[in-house]
Amino acid sequence: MGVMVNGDGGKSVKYNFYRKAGRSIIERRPVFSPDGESIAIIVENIVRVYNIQTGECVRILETESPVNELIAIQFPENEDYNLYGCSDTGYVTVWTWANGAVLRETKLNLPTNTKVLTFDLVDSTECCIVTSQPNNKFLNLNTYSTKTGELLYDYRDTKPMYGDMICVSLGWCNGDRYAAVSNGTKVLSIQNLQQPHLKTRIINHNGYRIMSVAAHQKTNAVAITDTLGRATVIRGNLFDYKQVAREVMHWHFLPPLATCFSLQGNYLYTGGMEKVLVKWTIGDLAYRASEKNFIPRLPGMIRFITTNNTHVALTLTNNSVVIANAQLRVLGTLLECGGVSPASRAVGGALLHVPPLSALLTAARTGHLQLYSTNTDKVLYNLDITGLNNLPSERWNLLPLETEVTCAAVSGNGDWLVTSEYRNDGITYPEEKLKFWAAQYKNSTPFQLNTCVNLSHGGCNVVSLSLNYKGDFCVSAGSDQKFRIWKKENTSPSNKGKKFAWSCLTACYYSSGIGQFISNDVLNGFKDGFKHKPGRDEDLPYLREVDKKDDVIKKLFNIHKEQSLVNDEANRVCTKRDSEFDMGGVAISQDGSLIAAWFGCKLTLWDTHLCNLSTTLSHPALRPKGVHVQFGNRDAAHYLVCTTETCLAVWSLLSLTVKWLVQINPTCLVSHRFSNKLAVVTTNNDLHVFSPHSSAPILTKKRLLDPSTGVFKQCTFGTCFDDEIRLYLMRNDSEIYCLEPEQTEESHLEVISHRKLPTSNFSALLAEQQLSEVTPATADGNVIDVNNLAGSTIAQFSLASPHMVPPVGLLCTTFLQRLSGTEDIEQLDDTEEDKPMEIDEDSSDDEDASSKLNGPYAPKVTELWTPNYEAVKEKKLNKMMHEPFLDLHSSSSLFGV
Amino acid sequence: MAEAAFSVDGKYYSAITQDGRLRIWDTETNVLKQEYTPDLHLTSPPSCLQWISATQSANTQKGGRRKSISEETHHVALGTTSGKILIYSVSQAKVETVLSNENSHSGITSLDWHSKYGLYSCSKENSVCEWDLQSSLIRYKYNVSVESKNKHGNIRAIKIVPHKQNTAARYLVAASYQVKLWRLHDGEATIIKNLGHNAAPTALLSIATLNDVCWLIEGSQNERLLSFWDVTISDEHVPQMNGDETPHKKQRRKSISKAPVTTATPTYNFVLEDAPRLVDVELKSEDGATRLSLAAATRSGVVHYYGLMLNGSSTKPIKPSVTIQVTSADARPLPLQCCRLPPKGDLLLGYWNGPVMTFERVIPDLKTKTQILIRGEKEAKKKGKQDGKQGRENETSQVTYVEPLGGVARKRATPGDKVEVPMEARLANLALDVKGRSKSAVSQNLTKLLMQGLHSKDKGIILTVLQKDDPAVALRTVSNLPADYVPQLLEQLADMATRKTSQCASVCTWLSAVVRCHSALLLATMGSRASDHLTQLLAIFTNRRSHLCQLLNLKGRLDLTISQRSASDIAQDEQEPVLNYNDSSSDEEMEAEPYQSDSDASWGDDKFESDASAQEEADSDGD
Repeated sequence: MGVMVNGDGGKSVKYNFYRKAGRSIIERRPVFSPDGESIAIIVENIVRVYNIQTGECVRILETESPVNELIAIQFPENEDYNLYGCSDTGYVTVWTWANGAVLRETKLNLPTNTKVLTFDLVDSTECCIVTSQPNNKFLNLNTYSTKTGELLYDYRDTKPMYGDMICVSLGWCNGDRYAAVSNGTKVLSIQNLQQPHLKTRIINHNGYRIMSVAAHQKTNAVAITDTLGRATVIRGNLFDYKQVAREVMHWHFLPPLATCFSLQGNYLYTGGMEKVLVKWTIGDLAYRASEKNFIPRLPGMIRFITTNNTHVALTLTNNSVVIANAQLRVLGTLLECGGVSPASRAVGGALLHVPPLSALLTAARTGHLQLYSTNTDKVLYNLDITGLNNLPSERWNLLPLETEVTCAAVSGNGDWLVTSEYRNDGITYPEEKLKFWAAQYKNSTPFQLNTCVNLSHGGCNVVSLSLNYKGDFCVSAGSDQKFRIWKKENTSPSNKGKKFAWSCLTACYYSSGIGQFISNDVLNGFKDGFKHKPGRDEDLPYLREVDKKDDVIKKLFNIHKEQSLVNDEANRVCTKRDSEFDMGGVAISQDGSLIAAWFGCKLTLWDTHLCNLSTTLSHPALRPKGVHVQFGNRDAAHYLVCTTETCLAVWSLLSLTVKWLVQINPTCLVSHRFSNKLAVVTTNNDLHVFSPHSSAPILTKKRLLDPSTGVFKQCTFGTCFDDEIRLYLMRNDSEIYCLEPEQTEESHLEVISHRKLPTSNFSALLAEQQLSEVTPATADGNVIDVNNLAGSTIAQFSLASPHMVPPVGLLCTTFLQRLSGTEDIEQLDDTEEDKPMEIDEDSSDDEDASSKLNGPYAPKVTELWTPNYEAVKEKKLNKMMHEPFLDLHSSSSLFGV
Repeated sequence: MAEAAFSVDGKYYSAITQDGRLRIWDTETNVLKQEYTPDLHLTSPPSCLQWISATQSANTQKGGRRKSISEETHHVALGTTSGKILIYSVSQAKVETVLSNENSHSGITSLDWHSKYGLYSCSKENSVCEWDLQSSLIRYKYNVSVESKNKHGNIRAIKIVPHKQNTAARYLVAASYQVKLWRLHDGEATIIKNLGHNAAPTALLSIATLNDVCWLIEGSQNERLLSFWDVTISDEHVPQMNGDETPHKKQRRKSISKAPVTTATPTYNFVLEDAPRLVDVELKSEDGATRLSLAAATRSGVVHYYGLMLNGSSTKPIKPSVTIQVTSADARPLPLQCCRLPPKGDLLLGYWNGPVMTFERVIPDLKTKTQILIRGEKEAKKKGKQDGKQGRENETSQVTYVEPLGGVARKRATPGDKVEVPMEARLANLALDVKGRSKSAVSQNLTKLLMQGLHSKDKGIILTVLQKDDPAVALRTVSNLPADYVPQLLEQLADMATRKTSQCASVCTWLSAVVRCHSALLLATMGSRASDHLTQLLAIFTNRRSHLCQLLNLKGRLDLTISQRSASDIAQDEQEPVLNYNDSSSDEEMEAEPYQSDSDASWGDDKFESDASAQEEADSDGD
């Protein structure tokens, strides 16, 4: 008989650290695929393709050479089977849409250190980009060839000032392509791309700042939105600011961040901070001009709008893309982790592991928590914790303070969830609610509200929460320097049914017990009702002025990553008091008999059953204030691990002494329920996994990420077996990272590239290859002359007496257009064409010196000056055809023969 | 022949319904995600399904880079009786491609897929095809039919056996009445092992691997037994060694010419309650030994869970460690349909709860033999329209709202309820005079009344008793109170303590009486509900006391102010009026008023007139 020895322990596991979720999918504008079945979304340096019907990621397109960030993707109109994308460094990648392979990659010939800001395709060979260079406050508007990467033209005259809010849209005006550029000022620049001298600067009415611009794809029209909330459609000859007409549509009262024409151009979509999408009826459908349609109550502000013929996609600030059909019925939401509001980002939110679902509970948009499945990398549920409506913004108060979920805890078996929400605007009495949620994983909502305690700490916010393993009792620590013990009780009348409610057993405190209440002067200030009268149109500075340093509009534009919107003063408004006994973390021991709580620099231990203080632990190194505390589990249950801002200490509960102490700067401390391990993350993003038995860590990972990009504020253990460690970490920008053992699984995925689908009965009648040599019959007398017919019909129609004719508004628009005769194609002016080129040549000498022109695709400067390039070319060809090929006289004079 | 299966990561569960539709559930959110009805689903219904992972983009194949899960998209391969295989994409909710064999149109009986070896199908002609998904063409076709005299059965189930040998050969278990392990190599199929017989042509096969060892779990359609076979592919099964294979092993079946190994008895047998429907197995290395977890859903709607350390072989059938059943509250069994062993150590179960499929994660309780989960509600009484309203009411009533600072829950009158208090009660409320009543009481002992009140939970009676703020009465009443009523009394006191200060004051009196009389009882029942109420009371009093200091302060100041103020008032009152005018005509005025006040509408005018007239009279008098 031999004794089986466990493995030598030399099982060295390699750990992988990677980003799990929470990438931003709202950074750039998405595009619909030409077949209308899917939508392509830029996620940093890759393109994800989502199916519109199911809302699932179907495939991922990657670039061949590594790029940092993709700027834009687009299907060119003349080559819509290929997808073009451009990176911030100027790599243009072309994917074939059918199988997602990289077809070609071109590097645009940009000067060094140039950053591409926008990318729009003129056609498949030419693109229009806006670039910025460091140390240069002006941006450059250029066209480049997408085939060779050469610079085609540098539009020197249209140089927008630097701004984060640059918005470019390409449209057609009088048969030429133009670029409409707005940059968050009152000026809209229109630049003809074919004829660089044609350009205008259109100033917005009243000088309000322009937020976004969209160009009509067919007619001479461009739509802008401004800070006052107006959407203006500018029509007419856009190259002459005197010949434009404006149609102002005003529904929004806050700055709309996005606008977009429908593909046919009969509708205009606008949306922004009100979280409402407005669909305006414009253009030819003039008889329905006053009609508007809405999608109200969207979960976030609208950043971008994309349309195709059947669908509208809205990019929202809560890191989601909402897809609606043309009738504005929401079909689905593509949801990614994160999308946390700035206030909640400042608070830090929560990151908890819910074992029964093997899901992570993370912070989400205002008043919500999100359940994210770690198995399948999908957001399972959005839990509405506060159950409150959005507070609407106002012009003088663009970002009202909302109730945010500040703290949350889950019991070890996942049966109970406790959340705390808080709102203190310094004007009204603070709102605070402690909510106990019972798990019901079988139903459509995983947690059901069981007990709601209003003002559980008398108006002070809850600092930390802790639940024991079974979910029997709960401890909440508040900034009123007390912690309260909550107990689950069976409240059913017969004691047999299972109706539970939570009630407060007692409040424990380490100070005099005299109430620490909110005593801020601000609370005694009267609410000034006259200050902001509703309906009064105030001229607020952000509406017109472009503030360089502290531009609130610019911040709102990037609200999903802007950190500076929450000022810390507002956060700390609540109290003016003695902070000696401020509460830090609380923890419940594994068996539930002890409660550990930080009161200032004193770590106190309390008996759970008698609710009285048993011991106070203090150490000079733990001054001035404790932050976290955790009990060890399993064989380390007699240790208590605590952190302050500068150190980590382990107490032995048997001897009541400090066992060991390390000087680090922890941001987060968590313990694993089923092993003796704990994990601590520091301010320079070091991760240490340790057991309280020894001060030598089990696993150390130094500088997991650059601390300047963000610090890990939340951390939790996932489900792990044996000695494995699986940790989830959340950075303060709500990206979730994962550390888990390396898995070596070799498997190749088969690619379904060949598609063989059963044909319909009708397609069975069609041959795969069709060739017909029958020459089409020439027109003979039978053919009806449509034009003549129309003319006679109109004549007949207009001969009728007026009272017999139906109202003009009901008549078909095309008929009306025919009557008015606008559709007539303008005949080319012969006189202009007859002008010989010599006149141009001498005038363009100075131009030649200044402009850089290279590449075979660039038209000559002289041609750029002439009004119609094609016509000139045709004329030239005609000339060549008709004139003798070799003129002896001229050639002899030329060669000097 | 699998008609139901979980996806590789367990996110989805799919099943072929009776009428030939494919249904896909999301196991994490319990949602029926998709239903797909294939063309001609009634004439040529799907016969088997298999989850496969495939991708659509061409350039995700770069080696070394870790793929996220969303990248490999889920597909379901559906084999139909017309011989076509539909590859259905779950993420796109449409059929991606159709694999069809031009030469034969015999129905597909079984499909299997392995990430290393690709998709295999087995048709009714006993031919196994290896498919190339990229081009939708057959790579190889093998004939695996066995000539047998007595029972001629089609192969109804195949399973790929993964191996780590350095060979291009594939290994496959094919089951009809006989279960055989085949080697497929270059279009040629050879039998390697015979794994006994089967009672029915349809078998349920499942493979478990750990490191190099590979086991097969085989269950038949109508046998209450699962057999456990070792199908590890070793060096001797590699084609090069083909010639000198197995000379030392016994040959049991003469009819097979190529001398394959025949293993007559499986390593283990597992007993089931009924024939298996779905089997999942997992092997785990634990402290050097191998731990087998096996879960099997049976046709009778229970799930058996077997936990076993692999150790030699055993001929004795192994009984399940736990049998899991699901019933509703009124003992109506909810049939379990499927089970899966996720790598987390728990068990994923799916059962029909009425018309809906419900998925649940359960940790098998190994202490008992049977684990019964009571789920689902009782048969709802049909009340038509009221149901919706009731549901909403239930929802709101399930939430308990607690007062600020964690006060005790107070029962709120539901809004809209009519308050019907009889006039007598209202009058009695008004006439309540604590002092007067205590005087008129027959004796100073209210024990009977209190008991009556506590027993019937009549607030009125209890309040009448407890509002007597007299220590003597309290002491006498409480001292006679039986011990049974003490917790209830405490509960009432705790409730009252959260109310007005006047009530709280009497609570103090009564509580001190209780503590004096029943301290032994209270000590003895430490940890019960009574002590909870005590702690609650302590909390309330502590909270109230914390204000005491400030309140006393305030009271002192107020008293001071009031006394000063009243002192000055008194001083003013005591002053002699400068002019004391005695109006002699006031009597007349009093008499005049009743006459004038008859007209209500012009009351104010009358009064003014009367005042004016009085004024006139006064003037005239003065004159």
